[in-house]
Amino acid sequence: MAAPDLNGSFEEGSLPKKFKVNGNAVNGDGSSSNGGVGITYSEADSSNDVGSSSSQFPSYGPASNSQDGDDLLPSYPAWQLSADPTDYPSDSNEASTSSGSRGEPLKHMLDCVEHQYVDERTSKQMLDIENEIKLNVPFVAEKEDLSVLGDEYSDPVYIAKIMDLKSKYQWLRRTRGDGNCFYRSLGFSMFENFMRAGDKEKVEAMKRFMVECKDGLVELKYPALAIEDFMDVFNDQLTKVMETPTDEELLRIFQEQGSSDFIVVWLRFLTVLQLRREPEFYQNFIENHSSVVEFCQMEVEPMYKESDHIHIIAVASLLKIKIRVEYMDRGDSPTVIGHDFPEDDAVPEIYLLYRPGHYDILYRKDSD
Amino acid sequence: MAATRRLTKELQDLKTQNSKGFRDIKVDEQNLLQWQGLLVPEHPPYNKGAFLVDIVFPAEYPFKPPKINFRTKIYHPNIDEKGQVCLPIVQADNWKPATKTEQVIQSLLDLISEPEPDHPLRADLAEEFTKDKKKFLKNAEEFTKKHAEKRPE
Repeated sequence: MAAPDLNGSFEEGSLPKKFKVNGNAVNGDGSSSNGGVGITYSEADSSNDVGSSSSQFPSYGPASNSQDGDDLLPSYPAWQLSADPTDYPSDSNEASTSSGSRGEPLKHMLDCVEHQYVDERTSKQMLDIENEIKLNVPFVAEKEDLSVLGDEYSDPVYIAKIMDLKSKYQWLRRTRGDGNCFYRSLGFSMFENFMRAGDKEKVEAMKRFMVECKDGLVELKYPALAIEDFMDVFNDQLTKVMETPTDEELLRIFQEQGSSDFIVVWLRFLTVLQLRREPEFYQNFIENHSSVVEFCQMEVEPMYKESDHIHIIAVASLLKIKIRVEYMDRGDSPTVIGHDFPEDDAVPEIYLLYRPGHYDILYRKDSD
Repeated sequence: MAATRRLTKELQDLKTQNSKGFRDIKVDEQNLLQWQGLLVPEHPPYNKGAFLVDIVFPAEYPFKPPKINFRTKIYHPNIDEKGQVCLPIVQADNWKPATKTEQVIQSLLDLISEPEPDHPLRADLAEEFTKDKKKFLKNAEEFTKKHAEKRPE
């Protein structure tokens, strides 16, 4: 799926030359000219060289892996992607009597076997990458001074944009680039805003709204048994952070997989709910999928699937939260380009930095 | 552990539903991630027996899908000699955390009763299924009688 790359292309130099975590360069070798993870992946993929991808990967950090991670997955024929078995091209007799089908079963067997093989191979590869990322970046990291970004780039286009960014923002909070970065950034920022405001009534109202959303999803035939867990964890953790309103507690919630991933899934479901409520509107944004339902099943519900404008618009309007995304890419503009969701005059509550394939959290200069 | 909480609920749910198609669910109390159950198809040629199936959940469940494996031999185009089955609903890149095990089992039962010869794991059986269905049904029935487990009363 295309990243919302506003006016720049995904070219050499558009990605950080090195990536730092808590001040330690993961890979000090800034000389690598391999433009990005995408290229690394495709090389590794075509040469079957699992080792090379894992050894090269860390130099690029989380900034873009998830987008390209999708490329790792074998392309399945449509029938395999359907979760609904009745969607299979079904009438087998008809298929067999059509002419020239002699080689077909063999071909399909090979396809299926190959998918399993590719599945195994790529899943090992992905596991390597996954482990690398886990070692290097927590789901959500500590706040860092925005100037750390300056160490990642030497490209004048980026240097200018970082200057621009620094005129408005003070802090950066990195998130893990696992395809869930938008939802995790959103969840963290929501929780943090609630915690700082300390308004318990608002929190209770939000929790009640979450229950309504859960009921809405059940009406759409999502199994209550499976949905409830995600909502419960979201509400329980929100309660916890209000009881213990500390940065440590907030970080703990988002760094422990047992809570962090549940919150991510719940935010994915909120996105689904809004998309399904206004299919006529969202249909216009969808390419490559026949319906909003299919889009939700394939691009929203599964973990690790990246978010695009449509996801942000949907979840922002459901939650009635205003999000500003600052786009930083290699486009010619000397400044970063801010995009508001929704596009109105209200003051944003959540600020995110987007670099091709990845979202991190930003903090304004006037924030503490 | 997240998986345990969810699986406990799912297990209770399945047991109260008392599905005819998937019975005798056995779960190691020490390890809730390993299930075994008896698949009891309703339609010929597989209604002459029952099939032991392993469902193994990863520690990351429900964020990663369970794996399905047949312990009982079955004569079916979509299940290979090792008991592996090509089931779209549990493909890694398509897995959805809200999918219940009950749906996975239903999808498996559907595949058993309606083989997918266009997407086989065993080309020989798929060809027989499409070219000579009578022969396939006869072979599958005999194979089931010979190799499958006894159906529960």
